[in-house]
Amino acid sequence: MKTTHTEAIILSAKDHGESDRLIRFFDQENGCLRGVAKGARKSRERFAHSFETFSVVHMKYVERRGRIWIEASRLAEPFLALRDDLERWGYAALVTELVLEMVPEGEPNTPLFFLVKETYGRLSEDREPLNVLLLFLFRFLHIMGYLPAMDACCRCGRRVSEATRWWWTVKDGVFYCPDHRSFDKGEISLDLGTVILIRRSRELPLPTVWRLFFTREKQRALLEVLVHWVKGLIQKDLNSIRVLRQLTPSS
Amino acid sequence: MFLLQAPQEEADALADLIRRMRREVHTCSRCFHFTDGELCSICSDPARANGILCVVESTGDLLAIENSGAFKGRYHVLQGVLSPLEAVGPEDLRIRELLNRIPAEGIREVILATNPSNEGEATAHYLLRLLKDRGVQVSRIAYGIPMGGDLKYTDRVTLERAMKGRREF
Repeated sequence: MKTTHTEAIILSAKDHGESDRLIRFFDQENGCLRGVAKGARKSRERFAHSFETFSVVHMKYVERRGRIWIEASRLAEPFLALRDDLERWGYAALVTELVLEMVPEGEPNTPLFFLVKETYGRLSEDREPLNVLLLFLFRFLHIMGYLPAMDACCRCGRRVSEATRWWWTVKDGVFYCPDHRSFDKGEISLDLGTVILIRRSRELPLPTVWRLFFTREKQRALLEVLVHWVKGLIQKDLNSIRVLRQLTPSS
Repeated sequence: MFLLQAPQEEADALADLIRRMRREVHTCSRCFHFTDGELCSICSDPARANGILCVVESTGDLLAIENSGAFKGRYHVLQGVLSPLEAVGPEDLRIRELLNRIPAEGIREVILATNPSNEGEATAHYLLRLLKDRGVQVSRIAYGIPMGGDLKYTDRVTLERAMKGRREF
């Protein structure tokens, strides 16, 4: 029986049986996991407020008979400000849904843990929450291995600095110079500045990546393209996007 | 085991009651609390205070407030809370009906009594956004230390909210 003490992000919590809760969480060292918190619906002391989605907690769990049993959990950071702003709250839900849908369970991914944690924090306080969401999406897709290199044309090898406009066929993950664009319905036009921003969003150290800024005119278009792409990758609609559109019709 | 050992007529009576409950109990057409009539016992009670509406997530929450005896106005049951991860949006809740009740019943105050959970708080903020320009006073239930509680063992969120929500004594 192995006991683990860790920092974790709560991704979802559902009632389980009479008095338990089934928790999906992102363990800093062991990746996305799910465990049962015995008696969590009744216990106010061991688990007080600590199974709220988007919260960072200090958790103790044991692995027994192939299952994880959460023994204790203490709230470290609840990111309460997210609840006061429906747009930020919806973006945090999208971040969480992407992790739940796309990150394989039981595979350690510490860089992603810190990206998610930092994104919740930035979404809570940054003046430009949509820009934060885009920076998360590009970095997340890079960590997951989906984002193309974007350093040269996939057909002729022309360097990115040699043209001012580029074409990205998102669903195929290919990147073309103006001479070789595919004219595919799903291709998106990017100016050189945006290409450089996307490349830097995955290269910069996490604490400094939030200084990057996509212009407001481009933010919505980039989000649309990325969401469309992700829906293709997971082969289903994103619940959080559907709700976000009801909550904030402009998004 | 109890049902297997009970007399046949007792088991049949229980089955009949469950069938009857499923057939006859539905939601009140006004507040969405459960009832077996057109209106629930609270909506049809002339002694209840008009003009003040308490918005709750579920019938369970309504019953908890009723049992406390602390509120004598009318209720509105949302039948859930906003939950993006579960695909529950405003259109899935009884929000349109809530907004319709305000002019129709001359509501002066709306008490938002959704739970102080992530989803409950966000739902309260969403309702506040919808209600603030409708000429009603909007209030939120208070957060704080439970009676008989101990500060030493109270979590930091509750303490923080209790300090922010302190009032003159």
